Formats: sequence, C-alpha cells, structure tokens
Amino acid sequence: MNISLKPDVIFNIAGLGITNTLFTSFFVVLIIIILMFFFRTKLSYKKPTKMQIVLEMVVLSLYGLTKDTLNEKYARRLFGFLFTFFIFILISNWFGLTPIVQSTIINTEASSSATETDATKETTTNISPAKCFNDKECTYTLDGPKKFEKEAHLFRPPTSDLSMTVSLAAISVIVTNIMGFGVLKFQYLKKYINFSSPINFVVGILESVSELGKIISFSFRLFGNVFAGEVLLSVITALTFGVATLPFFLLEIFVGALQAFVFFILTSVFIGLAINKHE
Amino acid sequence: MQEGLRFLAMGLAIGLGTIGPGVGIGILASKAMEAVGRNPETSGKIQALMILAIVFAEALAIYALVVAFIISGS
Repeated sequence: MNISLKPDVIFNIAGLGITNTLFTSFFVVLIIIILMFFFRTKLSYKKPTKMQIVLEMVVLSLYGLTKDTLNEKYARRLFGFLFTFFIFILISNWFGLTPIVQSTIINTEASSSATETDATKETTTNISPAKCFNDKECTYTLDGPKKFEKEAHLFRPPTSDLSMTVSLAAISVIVTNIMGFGVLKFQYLKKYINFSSPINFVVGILESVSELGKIISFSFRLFGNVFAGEVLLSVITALTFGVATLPFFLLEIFVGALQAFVFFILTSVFIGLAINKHE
Repeated sequence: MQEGLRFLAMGLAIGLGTIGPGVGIGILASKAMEAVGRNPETSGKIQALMILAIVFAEALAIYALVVAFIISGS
C-alpha cells in the first residue's frame, strides 16, 4: 500500500517535472471540454432531453444561490467563474473514483531521497555513464551504471494534491479581494485599516490575518476530504472486496460533490461579503 | 520506542481532534431541526445554511486528520 502525501513525478518536460496529479488534471479538463461540446449540440428549447433537464436543474439552482448571496448584476458576471470552480472540483473528485486511477502503474525515477518505504519496489535500467550525475540517482553495478526506479500510479485525483488546492484557494481569495477593490474602490481598505477607534484597529488587523486563514482553511478542507477519501478507499479495498466496498464508494461520491458545492458557495458568500458596503 | 510514540501521536491527534467538531455538529444539527420544526416553510434556506455551517465545523476535524497523516509520513 502506497500512501504518500507528495505526488510522484512521472516524466519531465523541459526540466519541469509533471506529477501524476497534474497529468490527471489535463484529462479532467479534456473531459469537461468534451462534455461541454457534446451537450452544446444537443440543446433544444421545445423538446429537451433528460440530460438537459438535469443539467438545467443543477445550473439554475446554483444560479439561484448566487443570486441570493450576491447582487443580481454581480451574480450574472461572476457565475461563470464560480461554476468553473464547482465543475472542475466535482469532475476531478469523481475522477478519483473511476477504476482507471488505482490501476495504471508506470515506472518512474525514484526521487533522490530513497527512503525505506520508497525502496520496496525498485528496478533499475541501464543508462549511459554520462547521464549519471550523482550517486543518489544511480548506482554503479558490475554491468554498468543503473538508475533507481520505482512504481508510481499514472493517475491520481488532482484535488488530492496540496499544491492544487492551495492554488484554487489562493485564486478564490485573491479574486474576492479584487472584486472588493473593484466595487468599493478605496473604501474597501476600511475593512482592514480602520482608525476610528482602537478596537476597530485591532479588528482590522485580525481581518487581514483571517484572509490568510481563509486560504488555509479552503485548501485544507478540500485536500483533507479528498486525500482522506483516497486513503480510506485504498485501505478498504485492501481489507475487503467486492460488494463490501460499495458503501465507501457511495460516501466518496457524496463527499466529492459536497466539497465542490461547499467551495462554490463559500467563495460566493465571501465575495458577497466583500462587495457589500459597510454600514 | 520512537515508532511506538509516533503511532500514539497519530492516534491521539485524530482521536482528540474529532471530539470538538463532533459536539459542534451535533449542536448545529439539533438547532437546525428545531428551527425547521417551528417554521417548515423555510426549510430549504435552513438546510442550505446548516450544510454551510457543518462544513466549517468539519474542516477542523479534517485539520486533525491531516496532522495525523503528516506525523505518520515524516
């Protein structure tokens, strides 16, 4: 059982390592684009198909929620941005439940810190002596220099990577502040720097610290739920088999959808708070 | 000895870290049910707000879980 917080690098492009979570996120975006084009051609006003009705239900209910939290004008502008968060996180969470994720394995280079857990499945391949730069990457055997390798999954849900969730959280918080500046212009700074009374000054400082706290809480909520779900599923499939793993998959489907919804609604609530004028 | 202490730390982190959110979610859900019982027409709004508040409380339990994983990893 191979549980690691850090995703494995599967190949290098121009010196940058592509991890398996990044590789999966390419596929998630590809799936979203294909679904988008597929459903766009089948939209019809008079005779809607069942899938169109379901999608319209989802989109209209989410749009209703954004209209509750934001003003009408800003809801129309920001709904595309918020819905992108929802659908990206939803599809990437659900992608982690498909059978393709735990099955495909690729041999990749082991990282330089070959600890005991990493060295369980190590194979070696021949490399030319010129490419072997330090002793951690390759070992000198009687047949020539060989590189360390280990097995890694090819696919891994992108939201189970802390880098991805921190990026999404940072985008969300930065856009919240940009919207606050854009709507309220310089009055937005009164939220953070407020000289009217000493208590308000301290409250302003606490507000700016809590913005950082928002990034941390957004990212760790999403990361913790998806990563813990991944660990749970791998433990359960190691212990039991077949139908007994079904309740856990259902739980993961529910948790994945709920976390996407929560990211969406929390972002819209915070933007709504940022663009309201202070009384 | 160090391995044993590490396992103990993992268990304590996740075990004690879930007490608070558990109690918090119980209080939240019970007040939400009461509010729906008093006023069944606004049950949609109350449900949405309850889920929002439960997710905030749940995030604290998730922090404890992540700390447990970090302890186990390093």
